[in-house]
Amino acid sequence: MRLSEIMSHAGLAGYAVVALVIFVLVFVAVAIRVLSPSRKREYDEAARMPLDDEKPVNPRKGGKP
Amino acid sequence: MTTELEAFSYDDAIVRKFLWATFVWGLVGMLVGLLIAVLLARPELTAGLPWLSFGRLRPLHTNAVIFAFAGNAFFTGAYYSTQRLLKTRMFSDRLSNIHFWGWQLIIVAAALTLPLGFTQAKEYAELEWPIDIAIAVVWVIFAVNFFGTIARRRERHLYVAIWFYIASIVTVALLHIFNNLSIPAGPLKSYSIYAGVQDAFMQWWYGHNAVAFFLTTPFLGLMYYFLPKAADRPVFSYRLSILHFWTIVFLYIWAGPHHLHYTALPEWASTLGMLFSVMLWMPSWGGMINGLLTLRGAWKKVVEDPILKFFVVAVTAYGMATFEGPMLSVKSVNALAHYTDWIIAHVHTGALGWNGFLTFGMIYWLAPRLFQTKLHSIKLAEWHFWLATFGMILYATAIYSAGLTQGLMWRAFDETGRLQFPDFIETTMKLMPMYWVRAAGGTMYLVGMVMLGYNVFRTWRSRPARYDVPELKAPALARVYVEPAGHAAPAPAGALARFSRAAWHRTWERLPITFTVMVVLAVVVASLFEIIPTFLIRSNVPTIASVMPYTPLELAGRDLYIKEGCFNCHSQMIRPLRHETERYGEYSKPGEFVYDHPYLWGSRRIGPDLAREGGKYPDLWHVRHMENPRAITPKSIMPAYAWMLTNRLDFEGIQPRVDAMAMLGVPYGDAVRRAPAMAREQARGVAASILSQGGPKGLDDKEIVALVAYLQRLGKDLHAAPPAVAHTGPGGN
Repeated sequence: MRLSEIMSHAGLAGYAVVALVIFVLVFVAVAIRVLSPSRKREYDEAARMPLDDEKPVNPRKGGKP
Repeated sequence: MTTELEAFSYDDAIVRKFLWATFVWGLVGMLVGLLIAVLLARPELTAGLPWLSFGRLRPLHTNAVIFAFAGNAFFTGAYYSTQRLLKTRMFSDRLSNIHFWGWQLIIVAAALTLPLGFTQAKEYAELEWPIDIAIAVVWVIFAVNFFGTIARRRERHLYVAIWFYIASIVTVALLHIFNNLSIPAGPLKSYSIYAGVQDAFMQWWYGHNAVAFFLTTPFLGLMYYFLPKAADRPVFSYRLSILHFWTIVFLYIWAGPHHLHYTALPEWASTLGMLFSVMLWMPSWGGMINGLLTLRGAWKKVVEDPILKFFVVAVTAYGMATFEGPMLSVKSVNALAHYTDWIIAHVHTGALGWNGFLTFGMIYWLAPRLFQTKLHSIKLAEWHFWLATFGMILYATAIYSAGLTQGLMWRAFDETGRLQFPDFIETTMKLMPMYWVRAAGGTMYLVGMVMLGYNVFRTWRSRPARYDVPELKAPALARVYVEPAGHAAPAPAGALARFSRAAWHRTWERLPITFTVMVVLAVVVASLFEIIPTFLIRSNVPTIASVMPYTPLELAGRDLYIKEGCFNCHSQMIRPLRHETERYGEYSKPGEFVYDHPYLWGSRRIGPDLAREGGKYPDLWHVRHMENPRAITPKSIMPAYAWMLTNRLDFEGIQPRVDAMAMLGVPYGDAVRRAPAMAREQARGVAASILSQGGPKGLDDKEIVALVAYLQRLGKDLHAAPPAVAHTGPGGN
């Protein structure tokens, strides 16, 4: 039996909908995390990164450089 | 804190190289674009030169502006910003240079092979297999250099621009490799391993995501770096930029099938494509708003600064194009817009507005910094801005009207229920004034590009004798992440809080490999869910017993059709819409294309559809028509292909092609042993029929007979008598 026959009988068409749901759920999880207020400070720092070409804005060991 | 400082400097020489390449190839790509725009209105300007005809130059234009202009622009900005965002020099100067020269060599190879007719016939993936391999190699070198740089960084957090670069690099590699899988049939000839519906599906999975991950995400990365730089303020919302990133990674990959609405693609697949395309609207506009709001309180600067003006138009064009994209993916809109100039207008809003303007703004910002002097003339840049803006508006207005006009004319019925414009050429003639306006708009845009070149050249001329390479100092990145003292949060209250504080995500951010793996996973999983059913569920491509492989001569004719780029102007896909079946005949079925390696459905009808061309006209009609289309249809804008009546057909070269096809599972039977002899025999028959209809003598070894044989076969198998001995079709391949 060829793989294509096995797959044909597996009723895969609905899997796309399952994937759709999974993707939406993962995205919602990411969104919750990103929007959580506790990360504001970190994001504010990150946003400044392009503006400084010389010193790391988010350095290796905590605290400001 | 007793961290030791490391000294380093940025490599700007490589950025300067890419900047020049961006300009040079942009100029070439736009020049070819203008040339083919004029050729549509004045086809006889090719002076009978094969390599100047529209079908051969159109891929050169698209490849040059996408991979040469936009590609080099991305590399320019990425090499500049990556080093600064990561506080380190590029991983290896040697790899940077191999990347640069390798990429330019590939472009030169493209510029030579495409006009000579070496093409895989897949849009934006036309380049033949040796060049494809070179692209993969150079891309991997770029990736090694890029990830090596990340590994050596001195900045803990990866700024969002870097995320966009990572996603672009890994996804483009994936798309490029899988869409270009093919069996070589000669040094510069290959056949896609996919056929018909599956090939179309792969191609538009690639085509759509090439737009996403070659023209959108890299440039979003550039936007998130250079816009804050030029405005001298951080991006409006960093949160929004992260959301923007993840939605694009999660959603974009699904949207490909919307390029194939109403074609022989399964209904559910195109509906899914449509759904995801509509969802894409959200992140795209989120990104646009984020870009525009970064300029809040800085609008006064925009008035004075041409760089910010370029950025504002670029971001706005991104918003327009990404609003229009989802709209075009709605089936009912698509039914009108598909195959018309509307799509051409849509991509040019994106290319001229988004990619072009962002690149221009970036170059004007970079030039004085890279050449360590003042920009030669801000006023000239201002002029460039206005000229390019009006050029773009002219282009868009003309081509949107052209698309709408032709789309509406194609579907118009008169009161007796017959097609109002049964003559295709009528709908073409209506577009001519708009084509001239387009050419005028394109000229303005091109002149603006020349002004940019002059401005950058004069800036370069006033550079210092030696470039200053400042030495910077920063501590190395610690191996282990330590929660910064100021960040120490109170004890986590429950799982949700821990989750939302998300140390796990910070861990990814420090481990670009893990992060990259997650992006790849998102892309691969989405792609598999989208692609596998089309490949493996047989009912999606029902076999039609009467559909047989092309004869060796027809295969040779099909390869000539590919070589001359006929698919750039003629579709081979009749949609199940009444005006189409009325105009062209019975609609196309998935099972009709099982031997089409590659598929040739086309995406734009500059001329009529050819899916049921077989038997419509006598053989001699085709000979005369190819010799001089205007002898048959006085106002035709098709180029003449007179050389096909004199060029000898390479009969011996047919055998390796048939063999390659047989390797792909096409049941060629006897032809794998005696393809040239079979082709010669059929050619004599076609030539005799042309002669009996009053045509010229001695065509039996000329290219034209192969082409005529192919054209006369198109669409005939559907109602042919099934073969006496039932053969088992190749099915899912």
